[in-house]
Amino acid sequence: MFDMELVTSGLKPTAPSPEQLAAMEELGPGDYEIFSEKLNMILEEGKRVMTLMGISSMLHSGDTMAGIYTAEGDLVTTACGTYLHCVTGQIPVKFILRYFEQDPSVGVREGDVFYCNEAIYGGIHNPDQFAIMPIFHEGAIVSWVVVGAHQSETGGKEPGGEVTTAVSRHDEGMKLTPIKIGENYRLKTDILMMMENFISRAPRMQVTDVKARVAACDRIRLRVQEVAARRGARFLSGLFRKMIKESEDGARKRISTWNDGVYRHVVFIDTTGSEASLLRVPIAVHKKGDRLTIDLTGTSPEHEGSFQALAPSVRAHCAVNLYQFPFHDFPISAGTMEPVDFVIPHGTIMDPDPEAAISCSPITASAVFPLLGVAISKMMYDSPQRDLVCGFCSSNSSAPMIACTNQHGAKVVDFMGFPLNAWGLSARHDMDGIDAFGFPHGPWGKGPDVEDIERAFPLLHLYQKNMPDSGGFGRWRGGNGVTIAYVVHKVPYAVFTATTKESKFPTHTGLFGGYSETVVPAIRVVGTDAVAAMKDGALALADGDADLVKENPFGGTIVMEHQARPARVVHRGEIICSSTQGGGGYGDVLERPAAEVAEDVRTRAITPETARRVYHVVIEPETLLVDEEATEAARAEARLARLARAKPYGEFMREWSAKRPHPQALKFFGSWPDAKPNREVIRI
Amino acid sequence: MSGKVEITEYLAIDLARERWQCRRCDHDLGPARANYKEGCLVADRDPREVHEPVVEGEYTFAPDPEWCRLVEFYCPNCATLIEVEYLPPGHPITHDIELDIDALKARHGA
Repeated sequence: MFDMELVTSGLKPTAPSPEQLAAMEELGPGDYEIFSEKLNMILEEGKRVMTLMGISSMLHSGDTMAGIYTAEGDLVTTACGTYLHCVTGQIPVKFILRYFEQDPSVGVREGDVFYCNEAIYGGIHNPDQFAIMPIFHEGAIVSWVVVGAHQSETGGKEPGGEVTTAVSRHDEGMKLTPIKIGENYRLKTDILMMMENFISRAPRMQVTDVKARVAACDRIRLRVQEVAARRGARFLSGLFRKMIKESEDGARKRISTWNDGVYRHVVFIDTTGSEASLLRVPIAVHKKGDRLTIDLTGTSPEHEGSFQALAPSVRAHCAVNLYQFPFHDFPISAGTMEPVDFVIPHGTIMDPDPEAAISCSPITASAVFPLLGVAISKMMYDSPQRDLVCGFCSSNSSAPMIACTNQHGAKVVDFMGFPLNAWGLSARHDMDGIDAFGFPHGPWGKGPDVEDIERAFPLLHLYQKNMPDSGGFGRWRGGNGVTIAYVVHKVPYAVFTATTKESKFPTHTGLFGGYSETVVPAIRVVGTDAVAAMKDGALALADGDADLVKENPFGGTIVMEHQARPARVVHRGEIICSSTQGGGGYGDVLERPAAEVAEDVRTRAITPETARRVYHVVIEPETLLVDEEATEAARAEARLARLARAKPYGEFMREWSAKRPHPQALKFFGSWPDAKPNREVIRI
Repeated sequence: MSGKVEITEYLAIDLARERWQCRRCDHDLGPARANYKEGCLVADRDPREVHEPVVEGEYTFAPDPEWCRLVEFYCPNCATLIEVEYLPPGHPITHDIELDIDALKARHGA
């Protein structure tokens, strides 16, 4: 049913024709520099149109992109948003060309507008919706434009688009393969009404945001046609090919500076979405000459839960890392991915059957963030790119979704945009990570202000601040995440879901002896009225979640559970927390200068207990000054303790190999320890 | 020719001898064609020793020690923490850096 060959091959640029190569050679001095930047400015203008017209938080918070593609559908350049969508945006264009261009019942004509949200053909998961337009010049297609953004409602069995309890694709709502929604530059009312019907929890948001995407497409279409009118179709063709070639040549040259070999890492996901269990994702990055092969062989088998991702989504998540770190200074084009090959085993959580539930795919596929962050860092350390060595981040870049009739009487379903943009960045080889740095899928996101959230949603913030001890400890400290709590306010109730993970097992490990970020539980306080309690004198809390669960100052019952939460009804006055995780640490904790540890305590980046117990730094509690002599003695003792508790490798392995995790941890792992399929997967 | 290549923050390879070395104290950590972890001292740690629980219960802000262990690799001489793995108890150790030593030597003129 699905054209998986197109999906697999569509990431790579099409081989250039002799005419395109000749057109590239005909570019004059300055043409490439001037017009490549002009295309980027056109895209920024288009993306801005979408942001100004759209209303969903994700159109403002960064899960967006606008891209220009060749006449064959290869990515030329993009304005992000997130790198994810520019990569996958190639697929629907190539799909339309393959199946519709010669089909008289559909066709491709000037003024057509296409749309899709099927994850196999363009998205990461079906909340990702794309508007697509061909760009014509003198009667022929010269380019395509794709504008995408995450829509926080899909009409699935739970609100929020990411359906935690989904068992199959049939639980996840609307999934449009590429479909024509407009002709002659006019959108079709029947199609928009169909979408309203699918997305009845938030119909106004759906239709308004469709129009925002299309308006952005049309602005970009207009501007590219202006360039074509000025310089001609052949010029555009040569410019596009040059932009792709520059990226490919740059990537190959850079890869060739790294040491040949195999670089491995492994991470673990701690839930299927509906049940806590360990799922393994190992990586082996084979580097030889100027090529990379990213191999995920050994990944846990697929299951009946929602935490799995189709292979196109996994490849796009790899691209996020590659575009953002080793190749950050090249044009964001399809050429970068030409020297990169993938081995993603089918039947695993990283490429399940197309019938599988995949609406939570970002929280699964993003396991490649720490995997590649660590593996490529080890590859780049002995290279001119040592300054780019960084473990990147955990793979937990999601946030709670809210569904309700808000205080203005409007039906809304949306992401909480601030936590989505407030994850900690891992430490680098020469500096600490960044606290609440942003949205790992793309560095251009914007966390909305508290006032923006409270104006749009019936919520009151109890606190929103950096969370002590959430980043990984090390010579360089991983950036902290944030701790946030909302009180439902002004309406009888709101529904929350969340597709985050890492409540029992962190999906990072730190780098070169640095520790992982900490894990975070989901927290609610039920059976209370926090607003009334504050009127009676209860105060917000110094360290956020940690103080909330220890002191329970608002009364009621504290519920702590896994972060992968199905829909929870939170009543007026009750509290729901939405904390984010930090990034991994770098290097040995005993090498962090004591003065920097003391400064971490002063700024509440870490607790005094962590300074003493993990960093072995002795700090005078009143003045926060370091006792240098006592610290030196404590650290010498810590080194002796290491040698005392450790064993030679062979002796260690004899004891270690006999151990096994808790049986629940292995329920969906696959066979132990090689994670091969060991049970029948049944989806109804 | 460069005799010693810095591979990680704490590891180098002596190209002439084809041996892993600790960058802090030059201690020998075994053949460069094998896993350097086999030359380290190794410890299995409860994650709560590093990530302190905030409360008691199933979800505590600390990894579950029945699901997750910290496997720490130390230099046997200077006790530098060279690497940490977060693994389920008993899970195979990762051979994280397997270099093409012949290509490495050729690149550095060894």
